[in-house]
Amino acid sequence: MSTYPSELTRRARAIGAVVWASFLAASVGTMFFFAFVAPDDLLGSIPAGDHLDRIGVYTLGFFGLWALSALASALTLYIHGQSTPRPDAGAQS
Amino acid sequence: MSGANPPTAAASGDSYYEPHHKIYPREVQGRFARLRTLAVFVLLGIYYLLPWLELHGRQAVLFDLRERKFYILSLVMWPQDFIFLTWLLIIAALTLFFFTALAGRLWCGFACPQTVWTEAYLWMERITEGTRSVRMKLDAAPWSLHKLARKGSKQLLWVGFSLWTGFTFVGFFSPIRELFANAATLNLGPWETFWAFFYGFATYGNAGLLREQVCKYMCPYARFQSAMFDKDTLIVTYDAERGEPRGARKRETVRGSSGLGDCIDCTWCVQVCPTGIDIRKGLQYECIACAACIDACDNVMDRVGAPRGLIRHTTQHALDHRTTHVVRPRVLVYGALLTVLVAGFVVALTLRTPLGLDVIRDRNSLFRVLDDGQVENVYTLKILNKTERERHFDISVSGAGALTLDPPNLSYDVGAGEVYPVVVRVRRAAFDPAGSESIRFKVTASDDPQVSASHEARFLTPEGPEQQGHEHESRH
Repeated sequence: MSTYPSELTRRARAIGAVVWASFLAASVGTMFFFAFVAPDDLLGSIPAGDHLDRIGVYTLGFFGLWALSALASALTLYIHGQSTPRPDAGAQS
Repeated sequence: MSGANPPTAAASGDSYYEPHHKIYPREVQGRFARLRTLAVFVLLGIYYLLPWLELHGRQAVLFDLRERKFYILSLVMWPQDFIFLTWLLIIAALTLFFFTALAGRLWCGFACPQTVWTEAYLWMERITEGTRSVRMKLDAAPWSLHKLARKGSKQLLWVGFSLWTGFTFVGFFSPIRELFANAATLNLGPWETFWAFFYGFATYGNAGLLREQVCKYMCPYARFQSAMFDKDTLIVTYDAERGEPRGARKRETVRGSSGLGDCIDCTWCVQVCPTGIDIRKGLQYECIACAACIDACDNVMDRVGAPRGLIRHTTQHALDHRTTHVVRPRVLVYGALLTVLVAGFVVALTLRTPLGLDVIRDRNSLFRVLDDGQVENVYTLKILNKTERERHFDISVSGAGALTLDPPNLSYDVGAGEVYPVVVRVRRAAFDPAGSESIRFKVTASDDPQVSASHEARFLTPEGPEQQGHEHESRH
């Protein structure tokens, strides 16, 4: 217990950055998307759409966008991390 | 590409990151602590009370997602008014830039929800677990009934506060009184329940557990705010010239006689820092400019009889013994942009007509030539009444010769906040003139001619008499 919330590892920090950055992007994205698309228009085209109400569509929209942005963030991090040496690589060790 | 010594970089993996040590910020009293407490009360007060405020018999601020209508005090926004919300967001961002250029990270230290909620969670921790030193001892001690009671009551407060925060969040998007009644009888809808818990959990995690780590490792603004900084921006700084060489000294030492600077190296500034940095090492990106170190150092300076301000708000230029310019191009540009945007916003909002009109051409036929030689085009008009009462509207059409409407004298009652579709036939003598002409529909409120909206449309006629036979009765 005494170690919480300590020892945020490299991986945890990377996850934090991906989750948070994509959360912000998804928030803006959801606002834009639903300003132009009414949830009612989507109900018909979503599987099991009749079991959803509008808030449900908004929720799915938000989490869908969040998942997509998180995927983009994670891939960026992955590709960038693979191909780019850390700026201080060598200097520290 | 992968550097001269990739194995080293890979092998040393985590070593580029200091291991995180739990930070126990010491409680501090002073001007800035009072200011932050005030900010916490005002901002959290607004957050928790605003949804309960009523105006015109409805919730004063409600972003009604179900009805797709946003109520902000007397304003009612529609999805069509989306531009205003975007505009508001741009104004908010620019305001942030403006104040950051002037006064540094004011936002981070006093207004950011992360700071404000963290402050509230820290307070709950303090009243249940005790002051900094007591908390550190408690964490180090083995589990006991006493520790369980302390930690348990903290968690109880935290969880309760988080759930209330989540509930309030949902109350901004769904009428809160209804929500409360439903929650009280355990009838909250599944989505509302989900969001209340989700937002509550996020608050608990961010403000209770992660705290300064959100600012240090997750917040993008913390990283790019330095772009708004220049040498005239207010920053929290340790006056090294005055403070160094630092060192402990006897209580009765006369100031300036020991060969030491004013810093007595008591490390209070480090102990109170919520992000755990030492401000004496210079400006660091982790610094959220909360000024807790200023309060702490001022208290110490008072006690040792030295003037306050060893750590203070100042600018790089002032530290370099140069003049600080409050008014400078950066501030002027941000200020001018801000003024234009705010003025434009107010003007656009006042000029906004509470009426919307959309015109859609009939897709099935371009035109139809009637037996009496007139050409007819069909349109669907959508009238949107943005006011909160039923209104009567008249439709007229103009342009491209003498036009007649069928039915004539179009006028309709449109309910509050309703979209009313109307099919309109427009007729005109066939070849007067020929081709595609622009016409204009106009909808006017019967009780107020000022309230009107118009929309352009194309009126199509056959090219000439010889084509009349081909186009006649196109696909009707």
